[in-house]
Amino acid sequence: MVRLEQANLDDYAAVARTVESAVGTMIAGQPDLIRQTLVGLLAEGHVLLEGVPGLGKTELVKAFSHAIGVGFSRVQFTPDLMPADIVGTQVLEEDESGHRRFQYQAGPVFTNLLLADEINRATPKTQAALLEAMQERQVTVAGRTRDLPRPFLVLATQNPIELEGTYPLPEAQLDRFMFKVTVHPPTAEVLEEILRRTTTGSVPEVPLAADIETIGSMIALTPQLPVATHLLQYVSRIIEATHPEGDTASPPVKRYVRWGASPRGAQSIVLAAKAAAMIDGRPHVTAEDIRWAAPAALRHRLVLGYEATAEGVRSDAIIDEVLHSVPEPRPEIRGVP
Amino acid sequence: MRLAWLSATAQRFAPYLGLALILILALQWSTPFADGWLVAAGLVGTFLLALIIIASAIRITDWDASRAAERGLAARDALTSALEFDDPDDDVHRLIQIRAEHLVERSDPSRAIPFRADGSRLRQSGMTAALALLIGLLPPLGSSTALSADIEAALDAEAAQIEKLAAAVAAADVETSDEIIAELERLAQELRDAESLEQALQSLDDADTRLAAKLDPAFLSQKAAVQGLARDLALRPLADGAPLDAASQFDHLAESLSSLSDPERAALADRLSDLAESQAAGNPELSGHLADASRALDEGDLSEARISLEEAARQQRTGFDQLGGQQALVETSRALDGARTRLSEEGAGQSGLADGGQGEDGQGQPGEGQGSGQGQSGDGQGQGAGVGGQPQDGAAGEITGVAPGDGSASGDGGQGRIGADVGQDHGTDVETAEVFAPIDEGALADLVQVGIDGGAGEGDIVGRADGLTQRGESIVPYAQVLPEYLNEAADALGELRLPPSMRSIVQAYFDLLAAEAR
Repeated sequence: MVRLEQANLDDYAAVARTVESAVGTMIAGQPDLIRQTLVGLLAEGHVLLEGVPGLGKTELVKAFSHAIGVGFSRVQFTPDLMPADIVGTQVLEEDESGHRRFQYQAGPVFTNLLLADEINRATPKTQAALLEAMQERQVTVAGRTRDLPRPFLVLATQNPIELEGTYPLPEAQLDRFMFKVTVHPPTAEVLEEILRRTTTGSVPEVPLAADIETIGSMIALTPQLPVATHLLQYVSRIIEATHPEGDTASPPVKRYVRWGASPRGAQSIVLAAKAAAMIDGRPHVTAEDIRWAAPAALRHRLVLGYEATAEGVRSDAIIDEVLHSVPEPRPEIRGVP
Repeated sequence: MRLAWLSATAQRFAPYLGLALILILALQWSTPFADGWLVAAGLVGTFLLALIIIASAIRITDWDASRAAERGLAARDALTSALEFDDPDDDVHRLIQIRAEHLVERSDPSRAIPFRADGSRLRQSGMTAALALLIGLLPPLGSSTALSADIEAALDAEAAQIEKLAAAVAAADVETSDEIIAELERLAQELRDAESLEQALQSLDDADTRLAAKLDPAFLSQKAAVQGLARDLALRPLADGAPLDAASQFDHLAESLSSLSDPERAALADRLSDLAESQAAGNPELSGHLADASRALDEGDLSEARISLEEAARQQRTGFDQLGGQQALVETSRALDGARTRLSEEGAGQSGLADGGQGEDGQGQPGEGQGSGQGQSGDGQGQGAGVGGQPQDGAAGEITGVAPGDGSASGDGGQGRIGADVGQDHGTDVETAEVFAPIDEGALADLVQVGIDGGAGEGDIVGRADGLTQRGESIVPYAQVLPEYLNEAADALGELRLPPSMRSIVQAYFDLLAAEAR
């Protein structure tokens, strides 16, 4: 058995940077988006992208698939999309000898990177089929369970506008996404770069930055990185502070939050922090990793009340307040750093 | 970490400490409280000591230390992770340990637990400390810069009075003259140099305290014994034709022992024995001599009796001398009390300095007339007050006072006015016997009107105080001084200055006097 050395971690960090750089050749000016997607990949956590059309969400998934050399599928969710359109179905086939039998025809979910475009436009039944696959990383069709390929990462998008005729994901299903990433419109400088890259007739080519084995090793090592007890306590206190009925909830939380984050939110923070440590080449998690991961891991897990809706208060503001109100663990000796 | 805690805690509480110092020093500045700096220093010392003790006792765990160090070194949880994950067989744990070691090796230990300067707190501390210092250095409220001309004049006047008092004491030439004079001269200078009324009053209090410390605790009992003997012998001389004062009577008796008959000697022995008993508490030495003389007379040893009587005479004179010195202390203390009262009133914006020696009209009460006079030591100042129902000319009260010493002081009492209302005059039974008046009457000699017990009739001034001398030869009507004697005795008993064993004796003695008066 090969012993893990710091050099291995440094190599993994270099690979991560290379992947980010490769994806960056296609996706301009969105380093956070790229980092969060990579963290989702390494932590095996699915990512919900929210942003208006045309911000490059599909290109992001494509770029990742090219950068790490894995399969890629894209499903445009529509109201008439059926579960079988996602997970596949049995079709009756006749072989050369004239025998007929059911043959399983795999759906687009059998891939490494799945882009579920506008997931909120499909019916809940179809959404549930995908979400089950996301959770179990396997699908069962006609009584037979089939494992999905690894790595398996779903990047679902939803459009915050044009909500008529959509089926917003229930909280329980939103909870299955590790991250919810808000894709912001590009700045003028970034837009200029995008124009420069995409209007010359040639599409930038994303280089292969890592092989699937290396990515698999990184994914396998990520959950093994330990998290110190005080950091686990830190995460627990953050989650506790999102609960309006909790003793540690700040006034904004009590006022605007109806339901706080679930334990799955805490798990997502820790896993994402581990992935962030891996990308940074560190064998342990830091409080900074946790603070970095918390917004994306919690923003879709807070159920805000009507007051927040009325006053236009968004989850991110609440999370900022929570992170501000929950101090990082420190020696309980006043005066020492 | 302990030092860092101490530094941070000191910075945290320093502004509050500064506020406390401001309060203490402001209290010193605005009130007579004079130990502000001492209390402030004590507070600061206690604060620092408490910090050091607590800093020494704080429990610091490994986690605390590593967490603090990694924050100081920006090690980003590497040290606490290494502290927790130390399994050498675990690859990841091993990497965490190696990483932590590298971090420590590359770090400057002095940066691990940095001292943090809280600029805001330090500024607040500096401002409060500076303000406290400023207040502490300010002259006391009402000091020389704020002294009014009236108070300055009052202080100068009192200083002048005290110098006159010192001159009078010097002229008296009693045992304690030198000490009193030194004290008074020092006090006069302090009053002139005083930067505030409070400082002047404090000087007066200090001087009074020092003088009181010089007073013999047995003064009152000694005074009662010496003066009682003089009074007794003045009323009932030991021999016919003997001088009035006790010492002279003893001398006279010593010379004339041989001329006495046996019955006279026996009677004299009994009398001397009685006198010895009366002196046992207040003047034991004199009591011993008198007892020796009595015993020698009983035994027929005239030589021994003569020697004892001469010793008794000497002891009586010595007693008077000592009494004069002690009395001078008492008088000086009273004078200082008076000065303090006048200055306090001046400071309170009340009446100005009392002018000694001026008579003033009193308020009328029907049927009563009263004159009072006050003689101040040595300079013949007096004060008189007359009280009467209707303004009529009354007899001028004439007071003669004596300061401790040889100086004779006289003061004219105020114009006494006698009420003209018609009433019953019960004042017909005037005691006319003459008795010894204590020398302290020189400072406050009242003309005591007797015989008007609550009567509403026409009052009358009776009694006339002649000037007293140091030797106590002055004789005044017995009834004139008895009430004051009784009051003094009651005061002395009430102030618990007498030993309990003597109180019953003193009480019985004055009860007897009161009974005789009735």
